[in-house]
Amino acid sequence: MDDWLIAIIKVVCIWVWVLLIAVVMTWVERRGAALIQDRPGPNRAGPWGLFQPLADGIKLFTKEEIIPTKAQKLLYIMGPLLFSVPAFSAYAVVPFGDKIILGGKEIILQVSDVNIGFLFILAIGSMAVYGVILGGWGSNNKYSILGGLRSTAQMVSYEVPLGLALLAIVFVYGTFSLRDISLAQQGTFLGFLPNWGIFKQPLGFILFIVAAYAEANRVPFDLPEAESEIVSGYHTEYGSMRLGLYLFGEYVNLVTISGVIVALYFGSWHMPYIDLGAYLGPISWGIVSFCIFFLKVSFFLWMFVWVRWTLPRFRYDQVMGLGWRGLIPLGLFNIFITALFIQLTV
Amino acid sequence: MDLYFWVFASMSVLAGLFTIAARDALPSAMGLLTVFIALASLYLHLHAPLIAIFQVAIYAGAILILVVFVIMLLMAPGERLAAIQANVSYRGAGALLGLCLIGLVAVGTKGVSEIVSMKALPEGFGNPSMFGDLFFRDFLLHFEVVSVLLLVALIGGIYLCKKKL
Amino acid sequence: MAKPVVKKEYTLSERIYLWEILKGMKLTWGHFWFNFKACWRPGPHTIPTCWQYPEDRTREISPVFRGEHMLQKDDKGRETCIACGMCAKICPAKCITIKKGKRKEGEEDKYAAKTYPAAFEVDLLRCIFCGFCEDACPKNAIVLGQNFELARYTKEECILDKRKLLMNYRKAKEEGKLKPPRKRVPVVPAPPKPEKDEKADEGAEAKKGKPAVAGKAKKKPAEKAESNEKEE
Repeated sequence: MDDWLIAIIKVVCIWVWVLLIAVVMTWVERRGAALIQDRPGPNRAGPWGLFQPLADGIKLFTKEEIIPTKAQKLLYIMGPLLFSVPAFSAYAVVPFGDKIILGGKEIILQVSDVNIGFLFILAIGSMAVYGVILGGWGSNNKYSILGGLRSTAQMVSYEVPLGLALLAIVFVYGTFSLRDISLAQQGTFLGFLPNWGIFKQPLGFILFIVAAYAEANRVPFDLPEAESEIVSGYHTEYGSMRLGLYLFGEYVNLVTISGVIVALYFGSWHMPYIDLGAYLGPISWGIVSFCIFFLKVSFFLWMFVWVRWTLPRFRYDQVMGLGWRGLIPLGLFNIFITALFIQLTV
Repeated sequence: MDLYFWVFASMSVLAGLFTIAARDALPSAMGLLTVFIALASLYLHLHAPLIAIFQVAIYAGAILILVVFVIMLLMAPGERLAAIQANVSYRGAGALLGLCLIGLVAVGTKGVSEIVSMKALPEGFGNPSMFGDLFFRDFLLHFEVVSVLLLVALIGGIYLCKKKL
Repeated sequence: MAKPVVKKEYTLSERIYLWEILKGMKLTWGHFWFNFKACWRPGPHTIPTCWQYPEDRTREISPVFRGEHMLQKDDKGRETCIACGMCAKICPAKCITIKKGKRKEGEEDKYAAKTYPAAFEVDLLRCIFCGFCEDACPKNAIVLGQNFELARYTKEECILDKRKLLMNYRKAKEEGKLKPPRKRVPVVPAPPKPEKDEKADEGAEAKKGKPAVAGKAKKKPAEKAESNEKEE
């Protein structure tokens, strides 16, 4: 019973935390985009526009829910649900800190440490594709169907390099579980580098991050929802809270992907050379490890915004070409090199 | 009274019925998706998380998406294949195959009462490393044959789609 | 000569694109950091390319901007409008209404000419701010100023009567935003036509009447302009 309670508390905490981050991300995105573009961004809604997400939330909640007449009702309603719920669920296997000892119990800061770790994230990522399909198809709108088809093809194609990069990680660490991989990133590598995944798998990191951008439908791969080209693609016909679910689902996806990148490649909660776990007490170490993890995740979230306003959008055939003819051979090459290294050194 | 099992088993049966009874193509595919997810949950309940993940990632995440792609590329949103559904010979063949399937299921459930309900599982059951051992030691030939099969399918796909050879 | 097109192949680092991405990110980071620091500095206009409008109205408006209308007075404080109705005739949106009044004995220092507008109404809701009235006015009386904040709460407030137009002039004069006087386009008579066939010549001349004056499309303003030139 206790375990259930702890698990439920963790789940609730994760939901609330991720939602808060998604809300703050809308503000970060708008201010960051504006400052990059030589303008101040929203600065009227509160000091530095901090209440702007609140205003946006109120607007989305109170708008009228319209379902187009010719839309396929079941699909139209299920689309946003299928997109955002997997985004939240995928966070179940991401460790957001080391253990914390509360009331004599040692609680790991991860909702569930299954032995299949990031395969769960891959599987749940495939489910998010359905949200896009249903959104596009159910809207009964040419632009939506186009956007939906393109997005689906893109997300499915980029799951392959994602999986190949992750496969190389499995070679290096020998386990799927994200917690074990995070624990193994302690100490130093070759004497002077921190023992982070990025130094062991540089090519894998590049592959993973490019494939992650494509999976999240973010620039430079955001043709499916390109605002200037196909009028918002698969969420053209959505308004009010359904659109809110799509947009938040996208940000939650970003948070999950950043979490996975940090856990796999950037030594999730470890400080580069100092082992804080030895110095701090158990409760403060739990909190400090969470803060370190969150700092790294926020760096990657900022990178998502930064790259969005740096790069132009890829054309669709360029996206497909990059995925199939560029990243997959690189992924296979990466696996080959990694296997060679492991075989020769172990 | 295993509540978990009954919930997901009834979910899969109902979704299966929805799949064959739905009039539009894409909701039917979504019914199939629900069947896959229910089956994955049942695999989880049987202490086989890796199989559950394979079910979701491969079946629901790749195969069903291909099926949905075909539906999206060949049909319009409100279209129902009324002409094909009204065809008597198709319906007759479907009924015949359905009867064969029922017969198969009846034959297959013959030994159900002999299944022991609780059995001690070997250590590390369902662990991915156990899978690795099985694939690369006991079932290596099967594994290699499957990879050759995939290669043949890949070559076939390329041949079918190439514009000129 | 047109600039020749040089077709360059991509270098390897450009094809891989990663280095270019990093260079681009450095550029955008520079912009972000500059603007981030600017946001923290006190003062109204720290981000150079962005005017925060209602608080910061310091953006320069071009001197030929066509904003709200005003009726000008001359140096002696007399109204210059002679109620000729040219602006009303030429207005494409037909938003000007003029009623003529004759100057009486004691009003020499109020009105500059013998006639003045007893009522002069500009309907801002119809006006398209083209500036034709300003071009057509022989006395340079009606002029489009620099005010663009024309939103009002009722339709009646949007109809400018003569009092409001003169007030606009007074406000603009106080703020020093008057337009410089318009340079008159020199009126040059057309050169005489060369001698051709006599019959064709006579026929053409009989049809046309007076030769067209260079630079002015309408006849009446041209006549008025010529008479004004002679007066001045």
